[in-house]
Amino acid sequence: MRSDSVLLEFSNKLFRQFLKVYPKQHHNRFNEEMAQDFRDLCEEVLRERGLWGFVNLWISVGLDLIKTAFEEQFKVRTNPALEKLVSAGSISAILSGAALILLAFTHASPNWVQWAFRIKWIWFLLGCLNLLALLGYATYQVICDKNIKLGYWVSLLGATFMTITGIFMPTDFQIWHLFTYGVDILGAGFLIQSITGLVAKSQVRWTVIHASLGAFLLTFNQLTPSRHMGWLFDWDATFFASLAGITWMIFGLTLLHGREQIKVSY
Amino acid sequence: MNTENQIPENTLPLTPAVFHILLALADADRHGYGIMKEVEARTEGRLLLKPGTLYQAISRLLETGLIEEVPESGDEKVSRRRVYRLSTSGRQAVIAEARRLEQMVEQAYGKNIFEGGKSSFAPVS
Repeated sequence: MRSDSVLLEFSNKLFRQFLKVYPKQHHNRFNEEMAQDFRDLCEEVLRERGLWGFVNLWISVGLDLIKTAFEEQFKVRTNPALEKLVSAGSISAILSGAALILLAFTHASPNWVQWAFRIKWIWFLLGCLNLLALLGYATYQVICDKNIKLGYWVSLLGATFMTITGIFMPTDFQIWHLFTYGVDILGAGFLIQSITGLVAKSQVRWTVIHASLGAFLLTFNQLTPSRHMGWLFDWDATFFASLAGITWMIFGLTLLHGREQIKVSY
Repeated sequence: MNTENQIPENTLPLTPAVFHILLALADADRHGYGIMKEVEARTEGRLLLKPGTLYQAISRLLETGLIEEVPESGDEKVSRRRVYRLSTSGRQAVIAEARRLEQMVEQAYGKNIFEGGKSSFAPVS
């Protein structure tokens, strides 16, 4: 009996050392409970199954400890970085929305082309902001174990199109049309996202409301005759583009709020 | 009212370990070791929760609000063990998961994969 108590004491001390591999927060919270449970488990196994059972228990608990400690460490180290990416994505969406509103009003001014084209790289930046926003959104989706569906890829294609054409915008007026097609694709991507989200009933939240409205506004804005028939309907286009910008900003705020849900699923 | 609305997003389906932990707390508040022994007894030793897995799951369940820590009373302060209980959303989650599993089993019966029907599931005496 004396040898059993020595063994248990040694085992408990060793187990407490192993518990230090967990992240500090987990260690501080569950250290005592885990050590106490393991000691009780060891006593029981030693009494009922002897030394061989005790060795078996140590092996299985040790392997389980290594696996879960690795998972916890991974969570602690990667989640803050991913959270930052989602935050960056949401801020980009807000900025992108603001830029869209700004551009909408420049579009309404009589000399909008000259005015907007003087701000070099604004188009390229708009595309980049959209890409970053979508990257943040994708990170959020992946972390929360949701699938990235077709609509997302279409949106990504639209944003990429905007970014590439945006590079040439200040020097080539013809690129403007290509840029607007990028906006069309982005809008269509949002529309697909909203439809699939509603069908799956998995995202019936602000994101879907945003996506539906944003898709409608972006697509409708591009379909208005203003692009093809001079500046007759410029103010309509400004109105819709502004609203689209607002929905982008709402999307950014929703993503910023949703960031709190980031957890490693079990 | 749809009670499943109370279940936090992304919690379903539950892993077997989490399902058994919630089930262990369905009829009584228990501490970690109590959960471990209840699961072992109920599954006739087929599922042995080790401390690492158990407290990792407890940590997640506390984060998502599916379980809660029972506030300590004066007497319990002698023990360092914390007692856990099922929250309302935890109860909804375990019910939803049980229904999901039931549907899956029903589908398996529908395919007639058991030669003796449902009775073939009965323990051999």
